[in-house]
Amino acid sequence: MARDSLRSSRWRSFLTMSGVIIGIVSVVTVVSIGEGLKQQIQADITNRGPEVITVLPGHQIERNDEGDISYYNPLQSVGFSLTEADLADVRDTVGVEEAVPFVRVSGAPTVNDDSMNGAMVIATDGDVPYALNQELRFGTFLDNEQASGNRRFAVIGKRVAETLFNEPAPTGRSFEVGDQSFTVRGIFSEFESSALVFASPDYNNAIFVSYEENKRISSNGQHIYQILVKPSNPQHAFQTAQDIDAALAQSRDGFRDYSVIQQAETVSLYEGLLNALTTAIAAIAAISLFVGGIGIMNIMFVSVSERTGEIGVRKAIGATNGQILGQFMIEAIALSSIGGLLGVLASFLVNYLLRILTDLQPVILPEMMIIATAVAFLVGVIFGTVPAIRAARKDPIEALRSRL
Amino acid sequence: MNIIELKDVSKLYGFGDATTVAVEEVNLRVKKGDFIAVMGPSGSGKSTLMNLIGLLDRPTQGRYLLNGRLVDKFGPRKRAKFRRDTIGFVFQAFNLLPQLTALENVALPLAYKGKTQTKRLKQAGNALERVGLADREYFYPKQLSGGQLQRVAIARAVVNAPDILIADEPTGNLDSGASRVVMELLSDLHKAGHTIMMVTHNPELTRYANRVVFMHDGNIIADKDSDVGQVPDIARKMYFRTRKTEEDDLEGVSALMDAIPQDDKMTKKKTKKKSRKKSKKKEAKQ
Repeated sequence: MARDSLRSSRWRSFLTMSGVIIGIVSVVTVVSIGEGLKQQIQADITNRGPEVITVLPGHQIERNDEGDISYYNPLQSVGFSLTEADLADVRDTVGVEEAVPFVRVSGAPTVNDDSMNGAMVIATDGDVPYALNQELRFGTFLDNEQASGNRRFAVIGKRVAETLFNEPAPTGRSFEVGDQSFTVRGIFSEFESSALVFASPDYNNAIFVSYEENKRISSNGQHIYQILVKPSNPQHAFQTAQDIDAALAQSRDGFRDYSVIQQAETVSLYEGLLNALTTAIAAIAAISLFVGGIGIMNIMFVSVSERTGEIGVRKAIGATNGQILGQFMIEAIALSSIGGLLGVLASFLVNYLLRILTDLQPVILPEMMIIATAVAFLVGVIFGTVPAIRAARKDPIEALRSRL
Repeated sequence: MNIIELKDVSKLYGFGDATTVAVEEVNLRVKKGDFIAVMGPSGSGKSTLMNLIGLLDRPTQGRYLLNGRLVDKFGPRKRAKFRRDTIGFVFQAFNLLPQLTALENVALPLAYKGKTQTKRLKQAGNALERVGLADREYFYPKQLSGGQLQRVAIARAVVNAPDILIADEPTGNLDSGASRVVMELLSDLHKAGHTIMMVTHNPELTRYANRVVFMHDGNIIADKDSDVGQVPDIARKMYFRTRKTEEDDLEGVSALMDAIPQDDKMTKKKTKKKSRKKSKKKEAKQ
């Protein structure tokens, strides 16, 4: 019965459903973008190795009693830096296999007066490819013995090679940073682009130079902004991180102007942030779902008053109030549920378009589809009830007087 | 046994000074198998009485026994079910649902009884066959003529095998040919044992009834048994009593309006009724 009346006014039904469709599409899309970002971060972390420990300057994090991060503010690092003594402490800690310091070097790389402004020059020491879990595509990484010669060497990211030298393997070619000349001896294979640029820098733009060389030539002191640590046993990464923390605390008499974070922890950190953001935007998107519900309610009221005569006839031939109520409820629920299903389908289309047209990699999980359909169903129940009650309560004699 | 028994049944509308008495302390007993023609001018309470008997309405006062059960205190749900199982309605305006086919319309009461789709359509098909429209099962109401529509409506009314058939001016929207077919059909149902209550303005139609009830201002003022096939004198007398005024002049206008195509007939009928009522009032004053 409900089907007949919906079929007889297709356009009206579709327009009514469009409110729910738009609502479902917007909520599902927002949530799927959030989910996509989360999965990208997960993948990033897995690529970089979840056991990697990062030591950062400044009191950026606070932990609760369980040891989970309860507070995070990267701005706390401003004005702080780690020292060589810290680096030594970290390297001396039991369970640390490799510790790599990162120092920013100011100045843009230049080749024949063409400079690359987006590049970042990092002075470092140790097995960086191992710490970053990334192989070199061409050449070899820096090692201290070779750096002792007259020539200074550098290892560059893929985009630096393409931008500065216009070739994929500019091994042996040189460039300047400030008044210093460097020769390229290795090129990293491409780093997977990260979902959150602020979470981890894009090392495709990086130029790695020797820490010792930089110390010799730079007039400023060495400001270590990050130490990447590979524990010898990934299973004990948590213990190692605690040991590093303890060692640094000891050398500073308990003053914690540094932070030790495990890579795995950053996942939950950014997930928390993303969840909050996704929830907020989805809540705003849900308003359109509410509006869609009001649309259904409105059209059901119109339908009830248009079909007063029909209600009268149905009652005269023996329909109980409950049966009339049921009929109109089913109609409202059919409208909203079909709208919900169409909305889920449309979400896949939007998803596809987003994947083609943007860098986003939204992901629609099965539970999202189920929840979206269930919510649409609920919208029908909530907004269909009042019109259906009005239909059920119509006086049959009054109703029979109006035209069919 | 009486299938319908009304004891001092009244129906009042409104409150206080604005109270209208639609039916006033009516007593009526209907035997199973009766074909009763209910006559009377507009506003005499015929339709209200039919609504009360048809369980669409509850009496303000009095008792109503239907099939031996005291139904006047029934709640809406119980009334709806009792109505579904005992009463079939035939309306002047046919009242078929336009979006359903003839077959689906006839099957509708069975749906509310909770029968399966197959059973419903089979039973509905049989009912349509009984009214001679087996070949119109899949026609929509707009594809059928007035007479056919009313026959579908009768099929719908009897598909549930109700004890009582209530027909409120079943031929009111039909021409004489179609009226005849419909009346013959009702007559057949009567012969088959159905109890029928029919409201009509046309005294000629009382020939199909075995009892004529005449109402006026909410009261039954005459109640006569008559032989089927005969138009009792009282029907003619009562009917024409209201017409001996300047109203007859207006009949000339009505005759002219008869020449106007079918669609406009409804409006014409209304004016006719209204003016008749007016004249009645005048008569009362005199």
